[in-house]
This record gives sequence, structure tokens and C-alpha cells, in this order.
Amino acid sequence: MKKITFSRLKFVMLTVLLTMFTSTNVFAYTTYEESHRDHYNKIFFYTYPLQYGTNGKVNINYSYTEAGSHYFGYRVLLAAYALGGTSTYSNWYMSYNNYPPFLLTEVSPSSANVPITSNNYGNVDWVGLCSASSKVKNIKINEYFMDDGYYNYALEEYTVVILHEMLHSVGLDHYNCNDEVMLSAKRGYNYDLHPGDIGGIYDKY
Amino acid sequence: MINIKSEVFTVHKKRNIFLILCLIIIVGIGAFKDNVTEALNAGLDRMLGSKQVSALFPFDNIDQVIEATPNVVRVKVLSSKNFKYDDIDFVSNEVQVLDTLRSNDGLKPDQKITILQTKDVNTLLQKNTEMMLFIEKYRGPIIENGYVIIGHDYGQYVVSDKNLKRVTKNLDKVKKIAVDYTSIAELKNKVDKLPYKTPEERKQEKLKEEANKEKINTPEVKQ
Repeated sequence: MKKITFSRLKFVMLTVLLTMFTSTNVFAYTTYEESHRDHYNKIFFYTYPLQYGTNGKVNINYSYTEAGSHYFGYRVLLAAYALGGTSTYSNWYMSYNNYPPFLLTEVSPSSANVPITSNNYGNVDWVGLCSASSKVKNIKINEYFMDDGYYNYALEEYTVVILHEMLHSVGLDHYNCNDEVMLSAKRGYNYDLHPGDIGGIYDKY
Repeated sequence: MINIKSEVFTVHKKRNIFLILCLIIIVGIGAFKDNVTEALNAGLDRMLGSKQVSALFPFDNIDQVIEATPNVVRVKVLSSKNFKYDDIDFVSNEVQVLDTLRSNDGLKPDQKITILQTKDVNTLLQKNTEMMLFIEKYRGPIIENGYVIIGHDYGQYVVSDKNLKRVTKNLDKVKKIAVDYTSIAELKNKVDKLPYKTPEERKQEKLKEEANKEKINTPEVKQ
């Protein structure tokens, strides 16, 4: 039997570590901006992923708390429907002829794995925020920009913000494409999931 | 005379220590998997930023960032304090103004001001560092009389020997814009050429632009 030397052992271990490191998507960020491609990024450091339940679905138990002065409950509902919608008219069915892997249920904040809170956080540089790598994936919605004279967000525009944060909570990262919900500075009234967003979800679940 | 025996022993000893250390690490990770994962999470979170955000960056070029900035100031970071607001980690940084390239809020050298940042979202200011910051007044309930940085990483630069260096290029993967200044002098030239526009002025400009676009796109109807 060939004797493994110390330096060879080090080399083997380093190679294994390097392979493990490069096989993750740490270098996978692309800068494509072309439209209509099946593209997405996944969060590199997405710990505590949401798991499949015994019902064969990934159970997203969300809650909504209004801590500021604007009510986003209906916006949350629309975003939840977009993420877990089972209608044949939903993008899920249209794009993949299939249904989403998620089951979204509204629960109380204490038992939610995706609690959503809206509040006024002032003119900080974010509209929505998600702690995607925590066990409980808190989503915060900054209502300030509705009352800001320059940004002037419409209530309807928050649906895509909430959906964007929900997609973070299931493990998707930003992707620089104007069509996709996962565009970082996504703004507008359209909150349809793009095939790229859906492709990312199917890649994870 | 070379002591071969002792050299061989040293190599063997080194190998054994290395193997034992590997074994301890593997067993340790196995036994305290959750704790190790959590510690690793915390460490990497600090490095990578654990929060994902819907960012606010309504700029297409660096000129727009400069026009939207009421104050461009060179500061020294004195101290930073972490605190929570509604379960979100924020940082309030006390900085001393050293110099102003633009000051619409009457900021003066030696004045101490507070800069609010969101932890795990913004690139945090480092103590004792000299920085060039693009700032505006903070309008919200978290702190009083504070300022926030405009333009994410495009609004903060480390100053070293009168040169400016962007703190990180995190935003580039989201929206990359060209920065055509590398020194304080070059930035000053730009700031002088591009005066501050109030949000109202920028809004009116944007509306005009959109109206012009619509005009171009709508064909004339001859009667």
C-alpha cells in the first residue's frame, strides 16, 4: 500500500476544501441583463431553509402586523397568492404547467415562520427587508416611502415589494433583470412571477 | 551531522498533530453542529450581510446621485453604537465634520453629527476612518437630528492621501454605474458643476422627461 505523506495529505484536504467551496454558488453571480431568460440567483448563505412538511408542501405560515399607520393586509394577501396560487391562470401554471411547491397559510405572529410587519422606518435606503438566513424569516416593510414627496409609492406598489421579500424568505437572491420580481430595486404595479423567479424556486424545491 | 532520526520524528509528529486537530474539528462539528452552524452564521452574516432588501436606488448615473445629495462632507468616524428598533439592528455613528464640499444644511467643520445605518444592509462606517460621505437629513422616528447616506455604496468613500476609494462594490451586482472621480479635487469639480436639486425639482424634471417621451412615442394625427 502506498504511504500517504504529510504534504500529499495536505494537498488532498486542500483540494477537497477548494472543490467544496467552488461547487457552491459563491462565484455564480452573473451580470446578464438580457430579458426573458430563465435566470435567477440563490442566496449563498441561506441557512435554516424551509422544509417540506408531511403534506408534501413547503409550509409558509405567514402573519401580518400593522405597526405603522398604513394597512398592507390586502397587499400581503395578493403577494401570498402570487407565491402559492394554484389557479390555472397563475404564472405557475402558465409557465410550468404545474403548481407551486408552497402552501401559504395565515397564522398568528407567534406561530409564523414568515412574520411580516409594516412600520415607518424613515428615509433609510430600503423599502423592504428580510432576514432570510434566520430560523424565523422576519419581513419588514417600510411604509415611509408612501408619504415621501419624491418617491411617492402607491399602496399597490407594495405588493411586489412584499412578494420580493417573500421570495428572499424562500431562498432567492437578487437578479439584475427588469422583468423579474427579484430585481433589487423592483418597483411597479405588476407582481407576476417571471419564469426566472419560478425557475429559481423549482431549482431549490 | 544531520540527525535523520530527529527530522523523521518531527515530520511524523507534525503529521500526527495535524491529524489529531482535524479529528477534533470533525468530532467537534459533529457534536456541536447547531452551535457551530449558528456561530458560523453569525460570522458570515457579518461578512456578507444577512439581510436581503428591496433597495432604494433610483439613480442611473453618478451625476444623478450628486445632484440628489444636499451635503457632501469629509468626516472622521468617532464612534459607533448598535441598537435595535422594532427588532431591526441599526447603527448610529458619531462623526466629526472635517470639511464640506457642499452643505445645504449648514454643516460646518468640527461639527459632530450622527449617521444612521442599517446593520447587515449597509457597509458600516469604521471607527477612526476618514470618509467622504453623501448625506441627507434623516426623516423618521428612529433617531432625532441624524443623517443618512445617499446612494448606498456610491455615497461613501474612504479618504486616503486626498484620494477616494469606494468602500465596497456590493451594489454593482444589482446596479453598476460608472464613478469618474478618484480624488477629492475631482469630486469637488463635479460637485461644483452639478448643483443640488431638491426632490421637488427632480420630480418635475422626471415628469417633463416622461411627457417628452410620450410625445415622441405618440404619432401626430393630421386632420
